[in-house]
Amino acid sequence: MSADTEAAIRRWAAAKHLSEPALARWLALDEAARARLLAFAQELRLRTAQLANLLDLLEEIALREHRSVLSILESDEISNAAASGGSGPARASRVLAALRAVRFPRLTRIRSELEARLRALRIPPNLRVRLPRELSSDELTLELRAASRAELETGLNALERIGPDLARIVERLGGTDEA
Amino acid sequence: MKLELDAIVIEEACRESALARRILARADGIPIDYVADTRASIVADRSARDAFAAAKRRMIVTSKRGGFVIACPAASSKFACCGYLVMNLASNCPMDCSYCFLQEYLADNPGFRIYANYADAFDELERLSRTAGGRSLRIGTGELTDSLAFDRLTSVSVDLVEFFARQSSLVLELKTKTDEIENLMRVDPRGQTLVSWTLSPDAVFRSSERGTASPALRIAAARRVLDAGYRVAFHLDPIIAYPGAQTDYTALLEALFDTIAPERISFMSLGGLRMTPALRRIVRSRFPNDPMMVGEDVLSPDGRFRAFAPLRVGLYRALHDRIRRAGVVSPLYLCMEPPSVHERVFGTRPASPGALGECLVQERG
Repeated sequence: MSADTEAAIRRWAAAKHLSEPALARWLALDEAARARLLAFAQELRLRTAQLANLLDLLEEIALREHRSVLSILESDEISNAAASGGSGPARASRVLAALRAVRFPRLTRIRSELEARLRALRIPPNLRVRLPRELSSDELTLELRAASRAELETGLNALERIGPDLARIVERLGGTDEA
Repeated sequence: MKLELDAIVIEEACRESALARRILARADGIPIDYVADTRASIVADRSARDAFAAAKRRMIVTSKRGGFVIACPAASSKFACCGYLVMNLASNCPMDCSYCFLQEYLADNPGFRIYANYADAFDELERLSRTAGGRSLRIGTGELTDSLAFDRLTSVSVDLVEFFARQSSLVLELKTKTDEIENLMRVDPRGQTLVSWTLSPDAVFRSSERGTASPALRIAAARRVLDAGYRVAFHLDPIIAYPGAQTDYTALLEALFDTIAPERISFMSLGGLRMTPALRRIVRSRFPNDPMMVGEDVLSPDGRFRAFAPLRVGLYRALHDRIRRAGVVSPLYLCMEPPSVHERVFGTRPASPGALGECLVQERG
């Protein structure tokens, strides 16, 4: 069983040009975990970079949460993402997103909360409000596009209406109520 | 803490130096090797499994060519800086913290060097003092090494403290994670030496700060030097935003303020864990089992991995609040953070580096 799994992993790695260090890390997992990961790779038709990304996330979660890689792969959130409908690549993206949510729990929670707050503001289409990528800075980006006086007024009126809410979002980005 | 060395390498030209003689007298069985040229000892040994760790165990006594005093290498117009000047009397450090920037900064030349001609720095400092235009300058030895980690062997601190005691516009900062303060007890700093400790909660100390003194021992050492007439300061840097960090850092501050009266602290600094991508790769490779190194860090606009902004800034705010509520009235600053973060935490625009630097060296209490 072990030799078969190892041979299958090596075949997958060779076909996908997976780097030697990444292959070594995969093979260093215990038998059940590496077999489960192989099943993911095959069923979800993972690309090389996705497999490497998955390995990083699994190892980091395992280290920080003192969990086995197998227990992470078999957790409800990951199993559900893998078993969700759609194509293999679509499910692969959902598995990676679910893993990132486990790896970055507080970031995921705060970003979801801020995205929900922005959605609730019913911002007109010519006004874009962007959160910083991965909440890596404390700056909110606003972009107003106007090709006519009417569009400009719509955008400015919307800004006036949502200004206090945006101010609260900026405060939240700056660490209010969060540590 | 115990300084563990496999060998001491002395450059022939430094054989008769006062520093080499002191080290030889205290080497206590450590093998000594004399070489005409130390350059080969300084570069990374690519055949070693961990060249950086191996370099830490071989002390090289050599001479420094060129100046000793430079502006802090972390200074940048992107950050609100503190006007710190660095005096490099050694390079690399016998301790081995997971997050240490030297792993990248000295990756090619990790040799643990101590400069036998360190007294040449005094001429440089006197020139600096004459041209400072009446400004007070803070000069530290703890950037490319720990200021006191090998002082038992070298006693360089004694010469430094005595030199600065004769200055009026220069203040020495000895920055450390040790409790190696016995030499300091022998000299009178006359208000011109400030000893600062980098403090971390026990969880970070146990996980990431190999070879350092425990936080409790650092705080106890701070109390002793304070009683001996030194000024003291504290750096919470790097602050690691692990789950439970706020509770642990608050407990650390409480332990500090139980031992050191807040009004007697000269200044404090805060700085979040930050790593360039290259440093992060090195850290992951050297310390793959350190859970503190896998936080919720994201690539920040300055190209370094840091805890995402709301988490990091929120932690700064909470700790700043705790420090002020305890009664610390002396300056606080953030290390390697932009002015916008400074403003969010402290509610004011940061002072210029020169003005902040001047403020940090003012005598208080």
